[in-house]
Amino acid sequence: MTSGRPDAVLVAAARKGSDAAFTALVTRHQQGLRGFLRRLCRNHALADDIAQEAFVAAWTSLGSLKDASRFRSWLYGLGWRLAANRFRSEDRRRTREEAYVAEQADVPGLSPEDRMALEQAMSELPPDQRAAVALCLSGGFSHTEAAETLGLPVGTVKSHVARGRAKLLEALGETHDE
Amino acid sequence: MTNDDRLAAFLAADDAPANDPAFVTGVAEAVAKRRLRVALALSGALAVALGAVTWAVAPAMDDLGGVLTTPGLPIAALVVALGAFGPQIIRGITRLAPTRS
Repeated sequence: MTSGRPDAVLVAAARKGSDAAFTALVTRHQQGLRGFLRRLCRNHALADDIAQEAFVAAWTSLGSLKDASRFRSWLYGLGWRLAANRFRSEDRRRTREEAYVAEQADVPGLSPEDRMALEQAMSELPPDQRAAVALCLSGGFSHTEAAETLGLPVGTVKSHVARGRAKLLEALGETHDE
Repeated sequence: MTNDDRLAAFLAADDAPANDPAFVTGVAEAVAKRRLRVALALSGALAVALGAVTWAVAPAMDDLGGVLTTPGLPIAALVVALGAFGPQIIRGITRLAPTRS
């Protein structure tokens, strides 16, 4: 069984060619990575495509991972860079926004007005701020781990999270002091 | 419900399923395709390298061809080959011949 083994052990086995070990890594991290990318991209289908690309990129460059115990932040970093590349393409952004309109659904505990306001506010956050919010407010990442993932200083990540959260709460009608 | 709760609900709406065999299978297929592509690229590179080696040694092969067209050489080669492999050929024919019971 591979499911209970630490990432570092699975990475070592995958480097030696174990498909089962790599599949265990995919099974373990798919939910978190896809959740992060869905919050970042605001489009589930696009986010899942990028997540798949990130896993393939991880398989291809597993040998370049220096500290196997940091597989999670390294993997999310690959996903972040792939998503950031997509954001640079204006056509794709338009496609993404059009696709998102079609996939909106009710969120339990949230009125449609609040959801639309939050969606608008989230889409208006700069990508790195949105990524910091997605990792730290919902992905269970520490500021240090998010900084490592996004390739940003810890102070910048803290600032991104604070400002992003304030903007999102402001969309819900909450005033804040900066 | 506080605004923090609303924000948490909004962010949680983007969660992916904890167990998604279809996604895991999709990744496995994509990895298999990548592996095949790498193998094909390596085979192609090997073929190109062999082609380059062949092209590099082609002049030497031409010289060898000139030697091989020397009159009488094919007959000499046949005699040498028969001398070397004749006994084995004869032994093989004997072994393949139907035995009488």
